[in-house]
Amino acid sequence: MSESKIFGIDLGTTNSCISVLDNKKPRVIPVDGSGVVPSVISVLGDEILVGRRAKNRAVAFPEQSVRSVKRKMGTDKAIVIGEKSYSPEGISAMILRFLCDEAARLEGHEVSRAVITVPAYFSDAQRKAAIEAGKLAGLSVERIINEPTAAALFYDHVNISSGDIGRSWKHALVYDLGGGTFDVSVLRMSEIIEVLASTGDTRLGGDDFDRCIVDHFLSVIRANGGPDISEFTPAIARLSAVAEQAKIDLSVRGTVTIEEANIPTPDGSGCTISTEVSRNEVEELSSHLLERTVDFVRKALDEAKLHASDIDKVLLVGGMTRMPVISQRLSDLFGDASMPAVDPDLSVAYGAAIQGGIINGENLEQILLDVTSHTLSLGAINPYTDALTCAPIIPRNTQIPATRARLFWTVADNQKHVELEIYQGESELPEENTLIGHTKLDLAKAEANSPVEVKYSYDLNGIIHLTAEHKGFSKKTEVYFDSRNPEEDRSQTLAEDLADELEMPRKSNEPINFVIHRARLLLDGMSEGPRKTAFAGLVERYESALLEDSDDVDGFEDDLLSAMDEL
Amino acid sequence: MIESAYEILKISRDATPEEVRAAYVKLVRRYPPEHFPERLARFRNAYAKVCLDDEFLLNLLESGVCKKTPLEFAGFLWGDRREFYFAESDLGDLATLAGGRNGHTVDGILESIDTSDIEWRGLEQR
Repeated sequence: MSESKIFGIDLGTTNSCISVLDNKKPRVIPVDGSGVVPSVISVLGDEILVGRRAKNRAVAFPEQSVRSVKRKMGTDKAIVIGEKSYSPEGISAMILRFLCDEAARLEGHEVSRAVITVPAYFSDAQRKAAIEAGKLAGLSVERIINEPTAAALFYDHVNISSGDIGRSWKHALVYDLGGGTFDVSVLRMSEIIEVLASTGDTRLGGDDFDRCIVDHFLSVIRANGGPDISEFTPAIARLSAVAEQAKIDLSVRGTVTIEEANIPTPDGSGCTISTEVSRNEVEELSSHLLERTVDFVRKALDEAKLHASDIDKVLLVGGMTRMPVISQRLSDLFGDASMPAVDPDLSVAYGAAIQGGIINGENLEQILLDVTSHTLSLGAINPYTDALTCAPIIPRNTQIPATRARLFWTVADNQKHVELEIYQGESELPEENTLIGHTKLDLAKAEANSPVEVKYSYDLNGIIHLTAEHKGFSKKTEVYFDSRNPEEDRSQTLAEDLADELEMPRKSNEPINFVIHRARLLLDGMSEGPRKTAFAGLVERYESALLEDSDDVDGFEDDLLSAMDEL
Repeated sequence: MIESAYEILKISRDATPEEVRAAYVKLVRRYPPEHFPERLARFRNAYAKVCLDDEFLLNLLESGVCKKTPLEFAGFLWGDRREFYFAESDLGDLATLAGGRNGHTVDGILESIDTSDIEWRGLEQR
């Protein structure tokens, strides 16, 4: 590879992980011992601890530590530690920097490019925050990809590696319940991987399950005549750690005994808890949360126009899916679908590394088509109510890259121009959506009701290309917007560069597709001679037909493929 | 125009749903979206058009558009109006439904239809 490696980073609510593609196989880098790095930072004087050390310290010094910062991403909530104030992106950047520095130390080379995963249902603002965190950590963020998609990509990779290419199954559902976020995606897996629907809740995860257990502990303490410590942060931090551990232990045991002394109290006297919790109790305490996830599963199936019986595989991702009740509940729902063993902690990071390989040309075998998680619309006047509404142009769950157009009509005779405002979001009301950008189109003299076509193209990097045309009057405008950075005006100077980027293979010396990639590998392994020369001729003929988009490309491809079969 | 969609996918007009799907997958693999995003959009539009159920579409046009402007309507459905705007004759039977152009009526009908749903309903059985 001419360019440096692209690392995959799963920036999780509870744990983070960094991985890289090695000889086409993803490998997790054992940062902080196991590779699963707690997403916790702790401030110790001038030093900032990250990972395991920070997690240990956070139990004793919660007010000097930050955990679950992912839940604040995309908001402007400042996090105050001592006299300093940090942004959620800034805290995330510390975790990213730690991962990259440690990975660089272990790998012996620099980590500068990365694919970062985010929950599929992350909003535009939350995605931007993830990119910003990457930038603050000094990384070039090559792509933001969805966590359930990454997991599916890894599972597909495992299948290909084990030779299961002509799959006997086709629909997979990814149930991704992490520390703070929940996603469910429905995919169709064949020679290409297509996401059909994706939904979720970016504020639902293991933290909420822990909170149910903590509330139970608090009521036990009160019932035994203890003080009310529900508003006292150090006590909650301590009990949260105990609750999390109890939840984890209950995945393999029926009951656990809780014996904690010296739980901090506001008056400094401390209190104790001595009780037993059973798996059943915890399941009951949190059953409303599980049912919420099941509602999302139904919604995703609905949006994919599938029934539970159409699903062949259910992939469980995220540490929370170790809770036995979750797989039981999904078994009830999906009956015959199998639940293959995938690593719930690492598969997202593995998938991110694989996506890195797709971007830099290392992996040409897997083709992934993901979807938009939010609708892109145009502000337009509703002819019946005269109110400004958002008219969807690219609805959510549209596969990207996407190009869609819609006709609009002028309202007045000799209207001078039309305002074009791009919104992102599911509401009809512009004020409830996010304004991504705006421009205007000058019109020719025409009577009212003359058609204006508005076309959006949405690319893999979240860049929107808007084309508006006054039909029949050759009045046209084209503008580029970066949905990740609306404040950056890319419309003028970058338009031409981007237009060039759109249809060009990135590097001319790199194979364009998997056929050529395989052919070149075969070619390298052949000994010099007339057979090699003849085969090289076939490869070259196919490649140039492909680039010139000639009609011969089909015949040439068939010739090349049968030659490859013979070899 | 329906013909062009078949040409883009390089399949015959009487291709079975399996053949249509195979042709689409082959093209997407040949031109990975990472490097050929524009082509992917073209392939997918063509694929969606070919997969639209003829009877469903005709019913929709007859009942919904009231013989106003099936050209704009069809183009809107498929995300690329231009082909329809300029090539009425290519629509064959559909073109006989064409009447005058009445913006508000058509737009009103379009507004009331959930477009994301239409594309899916037309797609092959999955």
